[in-house]
Amino acid sequence: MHRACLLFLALLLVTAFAGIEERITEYDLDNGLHVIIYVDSAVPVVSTHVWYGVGAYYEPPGRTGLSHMLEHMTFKHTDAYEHGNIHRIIKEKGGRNNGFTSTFYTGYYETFASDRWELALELEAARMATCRFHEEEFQPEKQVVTEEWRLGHNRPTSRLWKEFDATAFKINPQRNPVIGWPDDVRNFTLQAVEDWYHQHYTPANAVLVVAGDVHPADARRRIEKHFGPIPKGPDMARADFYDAEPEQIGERRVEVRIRTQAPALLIGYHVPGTRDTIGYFTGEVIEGIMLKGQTSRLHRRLVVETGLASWVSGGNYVSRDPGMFVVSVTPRSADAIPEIERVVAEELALLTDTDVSERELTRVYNLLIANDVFARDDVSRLARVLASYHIRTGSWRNFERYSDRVRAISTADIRAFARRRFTMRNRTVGVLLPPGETETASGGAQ
Amino acid sequence: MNARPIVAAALLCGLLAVATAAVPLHRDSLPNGLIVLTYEDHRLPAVGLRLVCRSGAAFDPAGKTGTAGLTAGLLLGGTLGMDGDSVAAVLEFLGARQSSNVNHDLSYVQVQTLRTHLDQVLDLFAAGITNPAFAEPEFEREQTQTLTGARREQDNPRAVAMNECERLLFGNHPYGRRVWGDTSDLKELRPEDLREFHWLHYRPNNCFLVVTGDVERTDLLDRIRARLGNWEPAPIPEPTNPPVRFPEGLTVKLISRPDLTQTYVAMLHSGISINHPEMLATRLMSFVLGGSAIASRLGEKVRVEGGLAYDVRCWFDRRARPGAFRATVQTASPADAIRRMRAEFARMHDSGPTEEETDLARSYYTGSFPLGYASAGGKLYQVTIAERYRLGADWLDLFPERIEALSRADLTRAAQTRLHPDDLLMVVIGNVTKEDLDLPDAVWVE
Repeated sequence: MHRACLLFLALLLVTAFAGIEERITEYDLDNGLHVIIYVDSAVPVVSTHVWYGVGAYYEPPGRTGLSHMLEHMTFKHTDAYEHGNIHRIIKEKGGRNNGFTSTFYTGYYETFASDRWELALELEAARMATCRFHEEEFQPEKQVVTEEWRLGHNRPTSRLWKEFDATAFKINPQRNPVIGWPDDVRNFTLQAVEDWYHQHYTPANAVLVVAGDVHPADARRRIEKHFGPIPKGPDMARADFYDAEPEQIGERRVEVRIRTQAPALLIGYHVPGTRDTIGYFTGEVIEGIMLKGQTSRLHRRLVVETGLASWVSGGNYVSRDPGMFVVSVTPRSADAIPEIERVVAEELALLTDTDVSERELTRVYNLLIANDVFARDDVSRLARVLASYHIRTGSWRNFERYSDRVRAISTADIRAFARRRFTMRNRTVGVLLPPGETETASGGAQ
Repeated sequence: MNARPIVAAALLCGLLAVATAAVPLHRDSLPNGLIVLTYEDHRLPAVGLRLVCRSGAAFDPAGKTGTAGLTAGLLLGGTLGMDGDSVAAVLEFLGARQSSNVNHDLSYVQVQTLRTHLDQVLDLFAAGITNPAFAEPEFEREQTQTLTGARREQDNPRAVAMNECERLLFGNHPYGRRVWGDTSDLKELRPEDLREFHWLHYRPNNCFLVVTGDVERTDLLDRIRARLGNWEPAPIPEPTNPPVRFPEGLTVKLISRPDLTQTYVAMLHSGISINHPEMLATRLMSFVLGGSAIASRLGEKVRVEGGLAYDVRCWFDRRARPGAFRATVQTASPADAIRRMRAEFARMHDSGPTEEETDLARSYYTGSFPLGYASAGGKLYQVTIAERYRLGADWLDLFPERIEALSRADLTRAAQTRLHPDDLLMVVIGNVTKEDLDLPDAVWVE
């Protein structure tokens, strides 16, 4: 089918069902809590997410992992629920729940059948307002977090990523693992955790997303009932301390030598965050061209044509802050690593020299449009997407605008991006190899 | 044609007092024996197609483990009229997503597509199912990727412990084989092996098609009949299932890994088949014992009270033939964790759950039932399980009331008959000695 015709069809489709805005009610409570209600009554399920704008990014030196430790502790004790009760109550009602900490946010969710979803509001309001911290609960939980850290430590690829991030970033806290460095975790005090809670778990620093089988007015009334009385809390004067990661002035390399059966390679370049609209969406398009699917350029070169690698993945890993465009490769063998580096550099250089074809761009657009549709299938997943866009980019509307923004990227944007970003001096390479080999397997390909 | 509407959601509405439109599941069969299960859902212009073959890795020929996995992986890797790259190019250009998977009891291939491309995708899907090429280049790539996956799995001590435990428990029985194949077998496989497996097992009378999304059933059936109506049925070979002699007493294998900072423990003993009349009671009892790393007896003793592990859990396999009871933990304090876990196995065996725990388990299973159908992926999964294991035409309808009918006595009986706390097979991987583990009753195996 002709590209224009195909694209037209896809656009028609998205336009026809889109209406995401019509399903959303968005407002702020008086205490500053931002609320997004998304109505989808096709299945009798409601997913409730509360995300806070706190994560590893905001942790001062010596306190890495504090947001994650706090996340664990918020499941322990509130005025309404005591030790262990939260999980039991959720299970009793057939709910699913979890918490997660990232660089820029900490999130919680509960998904219930829609006849009992208000319980999620009750639990999350209690978490926001009345968490209580006790030493006898803190000490075992600190041990649990230490065990969680060990789990990652015993995964070779996880260790490679930690070393890679710590090498690629000099100042930006993205260099720190979300779970924290072990000494910091060991030295946490209950008071530090409690102070972090009072500082960051305020309504004005959170977004509440309710998605599923609800009536907006009814949901609004219930939200007001549970979250309305929570005091606004202190104003947060939060600066973006780390926005300016110093410009990289030469290639950086890190080699991780630990027991492994499967060598791995990461190749990354500093790229702009979501606040640089053109830069961010150009990175997204290049991700599609180079890394998405079996017909992406790097999969074709490395897996299909040369057989140098078994898998290629990666992506445009950025948030509000600048981040990294990363190519992650599982080589067929360690010997292939220098050649893989050369091929990746060659393929990225091609972007600077030659315009991407219309057909290739259409493939990327179509993949993104389809992904956009598939993401709306599951209310829990959609709630997560909406919360994530709000926290990472300032508004869920950037999710709705995503396809249009991607389509606005020109071949000239791609060439300019590649010329500026995919340079040797902006590159960081991480290699995972087994111990015992005396020579470096990777060799600084151009 | 046999049409049977299963109005699971409607029945749930009665149970849960949730007002929603019914989402009907229809089960039709083509004259060649192919079952088509259609779950209409018109919220989004998307369709999910899953072809399930009732033969999985348990049907791999002797000495040719991995055959089922490679076969499923290559169904959409090229047809007799189109090579794999061309198939991938068309699917990706349309924004469609493909995937495949196998377990011991089944194999499947699935595609998610926008509704507007359904005909094109169905053409490729049907061609892949009935006339896959298993051409040499695509075969070699899939084989290499599977071998790399096996190497990568060696980097995961938890998987290594579980695989070794399965091998020791099931011996020559197919459930003792690694689903994706042993490395030595995988290296020797040839495309002819896949063609033979496909010829023998991918027959309409041994497969079923699950379709969810924006389709109209009668129209869909016409389209499927046009493409798969001539697919020829044939007798299907039965797997060989040598008798399993489950070990008595505590049998332990210790694998020394001085580089690990945690010890990985897998414990197995005999289980029951998914069709066993006591399976539901056994599942609920197991949920109370270790269905969650926090809200369960194991979670309470090992994680919450002891701070000994991030994750600890147990479950019973749900398979065509009797599988295993499994428990796992990853911890720096293995002796303490194992002691606590074994004590909980014994306590549950001797006394069963309390009335309160039984209520909680019942509430969880009935309350969470609609959550399983909230997404296309959930529907595909639930329908696959019900149909593959022939759980009965009324399985989905009656599930909630069957759960409600279970009493504490049922769960206690299941604990007494299905838990064997004294007959455990244990594999331990870590930087520990036999003395560290403090297991005086153990028989050690190499």
